This record gives sequence, C-alpha cells and structure tokens, in this order.
Amino acid sequence: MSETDPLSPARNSDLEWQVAALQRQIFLLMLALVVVTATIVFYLFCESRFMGNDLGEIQPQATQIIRSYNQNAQAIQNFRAQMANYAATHQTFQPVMRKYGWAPGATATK
Amino acid sequence: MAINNPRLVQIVRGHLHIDLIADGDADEIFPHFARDMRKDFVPVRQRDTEHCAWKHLRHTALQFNWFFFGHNVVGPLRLLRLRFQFKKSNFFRAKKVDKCCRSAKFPPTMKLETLNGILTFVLGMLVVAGVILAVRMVMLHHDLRSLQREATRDQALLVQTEQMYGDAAAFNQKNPSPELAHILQIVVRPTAATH
Repeated sequence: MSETDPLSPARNSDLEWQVAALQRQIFLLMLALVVVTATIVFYLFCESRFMGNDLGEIQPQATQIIRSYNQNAQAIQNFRAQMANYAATHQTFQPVMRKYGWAPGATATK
Repeated sequence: MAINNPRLVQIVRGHLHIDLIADGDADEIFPHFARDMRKDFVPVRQRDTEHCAWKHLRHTALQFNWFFFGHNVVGPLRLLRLRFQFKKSNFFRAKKVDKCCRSAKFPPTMKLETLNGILTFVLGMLVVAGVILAVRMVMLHHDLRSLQREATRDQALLVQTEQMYGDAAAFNQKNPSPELAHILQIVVRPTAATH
C-alpha cells in the first residue's frame, strides 16, 4: 500500500494523533475561555452588586431633594422672577443678582 | 435404491467406482459453519469434507478446499506459512482493512469530546449570565446617573435660591426698601436640603 492511501495505518495513526492534538488544544482553549468568561461574569456581578448598593443608598436622599424642589418649584420661580424685576428697576441691586448669572436684558433667571 | 436388485457386495463396494449418482448427500455440505465472520474462531471443523457429485466426481476427504474461506483456526506456524503463500489474497487484505477501521475509532479522545461538551455548556451559561448582569448593570448605571444628575441640579437650584434670598435680605438691611421687603415677605424662604 502506498503512503497516500487513506486506509494506510501510518496515515491513519498520524490523523488520529492530529485529531487528538486538536481536541486537546480545543479543550485547553475552551478551558481558558471559560476561566476568562467566569472572571468577567464575576466582575460584572460584583460591579452590579456595588452599583445596586450605591443606588439603594443614594435613592432616598435624591428622592427627598427632588421632592423638596418640586414642592417649592413654583415659589422659587416666582421669587427669582420678582428679584430679577427688582434688579431691573434698581441698579444698586444688580451686583447682587449678577453673582447668580443675571443679565440686565434678562427678565428672570432660572 | 439400486435398480436391478444388486447383491450386498455390489452395494458395499459401489463407492469405489465412479458413479454419476452421489453416494452421500445430494446437497452440498460446506466444511465450515459460517462465513464472513473473520473475527471469530471456530473450535470445531469437519475434517472429512465432501462435495456433492455435480461439483467434481470424487471424494475430497482430508483436504481443505474451503479452508481459506473459513475461519482462521490454524496455529501460528501454519499461519505464517499461509501468510507467506497468500500474502496478497483477499483474506489478509480484509484483515488489514479491519485493523484500519478498528484504529479509526479514536477511543482515547472520546473523554475530551465529553469535556468539551461540558465546557461548552458551562461557557454558554456563563455568557448568558454575563449578558444578564451586563444589562442589569447598564440599567442600574443609567438609573443612578439620571438620579444623581436630577438631584444635583435641584440641589444647586435650591442652594442658589437660598443664597439669593440671604443676599437680598442683607441688601435690604443695608439699603432698606419697602418693595424688596415686600418681595422677601411674600416669598417663603426656600429650604435647601442639607445633604
């Protein structure tokens, strides 16, 4: 039998060795990929947990601030508008309002 | 049955003459039990092999005409001799094909295939868990950022308005003005959150 015969024992043994080497290589690569993926998943889990804790701590305070602003939003807007009008008619008060971004042409600052 | 009522001597010695009628079974009797079973050994062999009369008109006792189509029950010396004589025969070629087919099963690598399957399953589960965690983290991050941004903006507006109220009150103390005092009275002092 020639060496190019697909049924040759030598060629078959070589093919078997190559298949075994490929399978070992795939196994090692798969193992490395699993380790890397597990690390990333663990990092994502930790980060998600820490972020959830941060959100749980910040949410009550932020909700209180937002609620307080929403309750006084109308009064705040009226006060700032009246102060802007007063500054427009009284030049001595304008330096006080300029500290808060007021411009002479603007009627009210937000 | 003989036709002309022969004597006993004629019947007994009849097998020494060439006769067109077989003195044994008319059916062909093979010297082996089964064929096409090269892997198995057969412990029993009929040594007195006979063929029916139409095959050839003589006995073939103590010969092995069907030997090479039967099972290989020969000893090692006879096997070596047979290999030397029939090296290119179909019998040994079939043996070689069987060896090739047997070695192509790759039995040692089957465990790696199973492990690869398990690792693929684990990898799939990890990827699914990673995607879920990533989506959850993105949503949490978005909520946290939007909440922080809105709270910071509202806090800054409250603090700025409170400072403006204080500056206006101080200005009113230095430069008393009924209009400014009226504005400060009708407007409730904003209370910024201390956090």
